Amino acid sequence: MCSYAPVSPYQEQLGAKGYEDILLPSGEFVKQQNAQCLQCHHLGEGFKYQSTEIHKELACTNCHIDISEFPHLATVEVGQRANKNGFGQVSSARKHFTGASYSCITCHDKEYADFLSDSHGRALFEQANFKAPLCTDCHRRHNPFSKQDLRSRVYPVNIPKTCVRDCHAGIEELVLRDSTASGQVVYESSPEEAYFESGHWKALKYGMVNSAQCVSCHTAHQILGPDAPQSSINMANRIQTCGQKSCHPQTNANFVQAAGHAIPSRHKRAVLFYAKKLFSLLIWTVFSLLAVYISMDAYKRLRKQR
Amino acid sequence: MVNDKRQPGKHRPAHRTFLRFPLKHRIMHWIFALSFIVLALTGLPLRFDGLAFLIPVFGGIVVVHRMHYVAAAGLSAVFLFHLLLDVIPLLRRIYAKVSGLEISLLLKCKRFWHAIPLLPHGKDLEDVRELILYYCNVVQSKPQFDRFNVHHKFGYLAVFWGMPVMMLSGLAMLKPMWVTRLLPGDFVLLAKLAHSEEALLAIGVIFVWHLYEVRFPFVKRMLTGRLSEEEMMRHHPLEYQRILRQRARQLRTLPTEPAEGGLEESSQ
Repeated sequence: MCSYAPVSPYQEQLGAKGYEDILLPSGEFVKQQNAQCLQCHHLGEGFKYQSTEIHKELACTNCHIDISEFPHLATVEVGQRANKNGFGQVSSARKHFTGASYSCITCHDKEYADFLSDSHGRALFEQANFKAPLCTDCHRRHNPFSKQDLRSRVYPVNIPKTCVRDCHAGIEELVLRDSTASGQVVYESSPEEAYFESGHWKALKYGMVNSAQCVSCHTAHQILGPDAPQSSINMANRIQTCGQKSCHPQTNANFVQAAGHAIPSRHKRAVLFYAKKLFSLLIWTVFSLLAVYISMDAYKRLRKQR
Repeated sequence: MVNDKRQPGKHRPAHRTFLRFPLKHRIMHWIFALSFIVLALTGLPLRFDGLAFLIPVFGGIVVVHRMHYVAAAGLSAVFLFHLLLDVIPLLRRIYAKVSGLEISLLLKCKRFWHAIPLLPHGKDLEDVRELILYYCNVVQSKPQFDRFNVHHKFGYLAVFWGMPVMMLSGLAMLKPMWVTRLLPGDFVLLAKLAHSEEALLAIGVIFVWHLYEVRFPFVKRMLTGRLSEEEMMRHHPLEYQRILRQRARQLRTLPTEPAEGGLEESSQ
């Protein structure tokens, strides 16, 4: 378990029991309590919270755990309190969200356990890298829709945009440039672009919801680099990953080598890299010869007609 | 065949036409063209994200895939029929004439290569040179062409090279598990690359060059399959002269043999 891993105050109180044991306030009580909050917070996101479908039986204070009396602390102080609980250096912009993620743990302890050991969680808790995502970066704060809901950020078709839009647009290139000793850039352009050119994405976008998106291969809360032995994209585990029931059940060891969206380069998949160069050379040669021929022929023809 | 013995004088042809594309080839051409258009229209949106808006226009990804497969079957069938009906019989005909000769010797023989009309011959190199001189205004006339000129040969060989590439790479993409049972996974990626790049090449060549070359009234020529005598004299003078020589020979020695090369000529 990581050193920075926070423990929810709920879990402290309850002796780390499962969320089934937490008595959630429900029905009229919640409505009354939330109405109190919404007297002031009716203009912001809190107002939208009323329309949400999941979490509708939760009170505001179930997630905003630091708020127990009125008048309550400002959000900055909530962040500072979270900081004290072990989040290390919190940049000011992330303080609020760090505090918010912190209360998801209470119920979603299974996802949290996975998250602790995956790349995102480790970046957050071990390296205190506050660019790493919290729960609320992928799941909406006040309107968490079900993943079957078209409006959800984690609806399969929306996942690639959720992952790429804010974070993974070109991030691999930077990370790899830092991490390789020689300073080589392994990818020549963003591999996410390669995903959006792929058949998986087009199938996903235009009617095959089963088609692979980021989470299908990288998992949702157990994301690990290809070298980690438990990683779903480790060569040893790829047969299971690609061979999921709705994907390629008859997969084999050779096939899974081709999976992924790395851009071929001189260092990686050199055959493909040079084949691509060769084909573009062929195409440009043929097309420029044709352009020269056609323009000369057309010119001759026009001269003759006059 | 020569039709001069049919009521001489009465129906003397006002203008003669020459059969260039027999019915078999015309049917094959139009199946090929239709399949090619469908393949291009369904393949481009699958390749380029910028054209992907066409996918819902055709009715979703599944429909686009099916259309692509059906059209690919059409294209492949035409290619295989061309091999079965044209290429293999030609090679057998040539081989029957020289049976007994060793293949290695045969391949060295110049006349063997000249018997296959769509292969590049020595004359084509000269034609290219003369064409360049013509376009540079050095000489005033184009070289004299036979039945198939440099352009035809280039186009035909491009298709002949492209078809196996497209068929094999397409099959590798359709059934990647078959391929990877024996070969490493990079072959699937290579197939993907080859399929899309070769397709781009083909689409460019067909829609720009081919349509430029055939021009107006291109559909009519491929529907009737005939060239007028004037077109024949202008575009295929060597073939025209050969047909005339052949006819003269046939007239001298009353026709017992069919004309060479499967060429037919009729009067209207």
